Amino acid sequence: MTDDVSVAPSDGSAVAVAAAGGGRGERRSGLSRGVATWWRALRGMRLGGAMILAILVASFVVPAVSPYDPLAATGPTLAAPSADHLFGTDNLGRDVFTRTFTAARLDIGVALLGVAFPLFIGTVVGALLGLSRSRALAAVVGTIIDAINAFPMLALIIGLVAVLGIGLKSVIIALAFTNWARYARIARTRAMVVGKQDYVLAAKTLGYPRRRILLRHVMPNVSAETIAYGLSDFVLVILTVAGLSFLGLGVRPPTPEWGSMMSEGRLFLQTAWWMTVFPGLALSWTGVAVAFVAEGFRRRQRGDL
Amino acid sequence: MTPAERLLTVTDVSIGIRRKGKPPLLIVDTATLTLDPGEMLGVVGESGSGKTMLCRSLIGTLERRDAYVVGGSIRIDGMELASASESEWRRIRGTTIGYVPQSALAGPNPVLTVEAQLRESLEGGRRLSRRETRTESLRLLDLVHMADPETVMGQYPHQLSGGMRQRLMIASALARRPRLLIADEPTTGLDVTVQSGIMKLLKEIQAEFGMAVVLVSHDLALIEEVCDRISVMHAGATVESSSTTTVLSRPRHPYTVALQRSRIDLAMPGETLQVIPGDAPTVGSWFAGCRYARRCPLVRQDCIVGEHPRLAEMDGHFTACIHSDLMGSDRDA
Amino acid sequence: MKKQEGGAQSAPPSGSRSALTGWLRSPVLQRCVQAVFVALSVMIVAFSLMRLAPGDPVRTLLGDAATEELVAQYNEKLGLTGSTPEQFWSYLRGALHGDLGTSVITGQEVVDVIARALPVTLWLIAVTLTMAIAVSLPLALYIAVSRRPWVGHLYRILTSISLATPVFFWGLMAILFFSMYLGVAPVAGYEPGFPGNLEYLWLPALVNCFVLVPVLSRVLHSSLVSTQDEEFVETGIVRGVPRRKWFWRYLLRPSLAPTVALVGYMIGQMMSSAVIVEIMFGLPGIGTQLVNAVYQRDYAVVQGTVLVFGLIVVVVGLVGDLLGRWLDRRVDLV
Repeated sequence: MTDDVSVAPSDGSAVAVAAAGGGRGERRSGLSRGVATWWRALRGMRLGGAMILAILVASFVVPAVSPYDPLAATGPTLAAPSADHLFGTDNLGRDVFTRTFTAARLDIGVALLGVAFPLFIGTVVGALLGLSRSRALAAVVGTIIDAINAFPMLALIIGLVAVLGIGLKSVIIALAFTNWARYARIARTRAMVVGKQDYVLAAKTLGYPRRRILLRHVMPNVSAETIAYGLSDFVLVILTVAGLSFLGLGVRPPTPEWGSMMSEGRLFLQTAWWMTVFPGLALSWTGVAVAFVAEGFRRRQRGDL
Repeated sequence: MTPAERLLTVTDVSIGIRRKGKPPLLIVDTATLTLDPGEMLGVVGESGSGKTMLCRSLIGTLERRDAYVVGGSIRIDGMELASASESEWRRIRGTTIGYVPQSALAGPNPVLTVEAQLRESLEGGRRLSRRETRTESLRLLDLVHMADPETVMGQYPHQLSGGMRQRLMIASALARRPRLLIADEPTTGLDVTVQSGIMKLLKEIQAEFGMAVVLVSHDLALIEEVCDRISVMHAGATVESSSTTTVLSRPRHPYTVALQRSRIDLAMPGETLQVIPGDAPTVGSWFAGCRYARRCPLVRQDCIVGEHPRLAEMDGHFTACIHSDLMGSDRDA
Repeated sequence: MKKQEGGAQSAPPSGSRSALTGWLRSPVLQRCVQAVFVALSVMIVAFSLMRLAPGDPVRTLLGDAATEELVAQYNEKLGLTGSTPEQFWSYLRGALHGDLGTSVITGQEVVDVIARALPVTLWLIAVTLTMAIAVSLPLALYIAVSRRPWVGHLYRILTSISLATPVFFWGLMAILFFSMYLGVAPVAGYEPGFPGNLEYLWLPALVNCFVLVPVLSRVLHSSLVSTQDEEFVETGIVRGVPRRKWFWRYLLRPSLAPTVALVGYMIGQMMSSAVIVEIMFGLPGIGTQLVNAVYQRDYAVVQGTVLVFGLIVVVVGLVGDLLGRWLDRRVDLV
């Protein structure tokens, strides 16, 4: 859920200020000064950042280090968590621990794509639309954006997946096709406001070419807001991707993915709760981590911190 | 009148904002007022002088802003209210004391019609029949000279002009005929012509109901025109107080003199406008002694030590200047 | 959503002609017209769904059994013949007459399928909304009025966690706890008819609330906080309005408007989670229909249910906006 944030032009000032405000003396080595810079830049997002870092590291370390193949039966079926299998085994004897962290890369990666594409498309389209003086264009594209936004996102994506065929690729395409509208709406509103600002009018009267105005003056401002939205959207996307897989419409077994793992575990809920709970916890962990980061970022923008 | 019979007596009141682990931040200190029924008292001072907070202490809305009466006494109609509880206040608000808040434009509740607002002012805690309240509301609107009362009754505040909203606020404050009316800058933000209309209205109502009115303003010209008594405030303290004519013709505090001098309405064309040098000390940066010292032409060594001077009386004329005897009989000080 | 402060507005002019133009300019009417336009564009989007896909949906559906004859037949049945404007026109005409096509898989009329499933979903929404409001209102009020700082922090953290956790996780945990462990709710299934269906609806509704309550209460809370800062709140105190009445008239009612007007957005979110909840609890609502239709490649049903989803959000959004305006005249409708 996003608030409407009105934001002063951002130019990476957060990091710049943090870097400039070091002033701890020349003696510090480059490394520790670099770390200090990031530490300050991430103020308010530290807990979330740490949580994300933890799961990312685990997603690489565990599959590399684990003796078990996430796709093969490596133990007794439906075994409770033990020293051998930290998260137990599932109905096919696969190690849940390894599978959970293998799935992490997939879920997070797909979510990143699911945010990146709509973010890019939506920001560009929305910004252009907001600045455009053609009323016909604004009306047509604007209506399309409003129409897409009128749907519950999951319903529309499911509909698209139906037509595109079940699978991960369809999910990403469906996301790109629907989610861009939410970014476009934000970008459009912001671009309309920015377009009326004095500094843009000044640039126009000075005769700057339109592209320069767009790139240097409008886009940074607009994308600051869409990127902020993107952070909280990441949570929604990751839940949507997992949700689709849970419904059997996304990733197909035997590929480990949190949503589909939970769906498989559903049948054994009473007897082997670990099949569902651990992937669920991992998913929640990631979602909460990103939510904390998004919240911290938003509060920073608003000047609460 | 003996002190026991005065309607309003504020003695040496100080108001502060709560702070965790520290003593309260004082906004008002040594404020003193008195008022009798049928009188209009003008409280004049710059913005930040604490006038509004003082008003809030008279209607008990300090708690909302984390403020409270730190010391002194507030007696209204014989009741001591400096440390009154919320339930005690609830009995008095609307019935004994009426309040017209500072910003009339934002004052009325936007989700209620005029009729609903007057109704709730009339009811307070009771329940009255719709017919009763409707008749009485129309009468109230008439009282405040509201144009076309029948139509206005069904309208919402955003459909009314500034002057109309102010009349609505006055009407609702008067609904239960309080004995004391507090009007905090009732004409700020209104057109000049509307301003004089509102002031005339207040004077009329006061005469008709024999109410006591506390009028807060920064406009000395306004106060001179309508008020019987004046109380001058500076940086949270009452510095001079007496009848209007006395204070304005024979001021006994340098601040009052300076205020008079800087009045635009009294300036002669061609004259340079006088301004008061410096700024009043803001809350939190009060220094020792008299807080007008740094702007005062009469300042002496003993002005800047110790506590803020208390009001000293001479023939019913109160002043907080310890060197008031050095002042001339008219405006050169 | 904007609130307007205004200067004076004259009373509406009398006379029948100006009364009509006055009514035409009415923001309520304009909002309704806008809703019709959005509904129309919703139909266009639902229509485009099937036709935007790369490849041929009919051939994908038929797979190996695809013969030219069969393909032509199915194309006919699914309304995929003729030029695109022709297709849309017949689709639109059909929709307005209550004909949303026929399922090529089951042979049933799509409208019938939806008509049977819709009440279940509507009941779920109704129960969820009731629960959500009953919890969010006092919760938001309490958090807004509380003077202890840790209360606000805890609230924000808990709502963040609740929102970031997938609804199916809450659902499965809820089933584990309430159905399997405590045994106070059926694991799955549905029984139509009130009040019997409540037994099957309360747990799914509760699960939906894990998503809805944080959103609803947060909006209400921020609205309450900004209302508290407004001048008129003090007016209620100085007039001697009794406490209970003051809470409602001066705090809640002016704050409700933006919340209610956001109902459209919230219903959208809730319906997304409702799809998953319906599947999890085996409720035969339109969410389940949609997903099953996807499994079976029943395109007509997919199109029909997606359309219905969109229309529900449009209608609820309209109702929410109008309700918001009724509560608080400052609400800007268009």
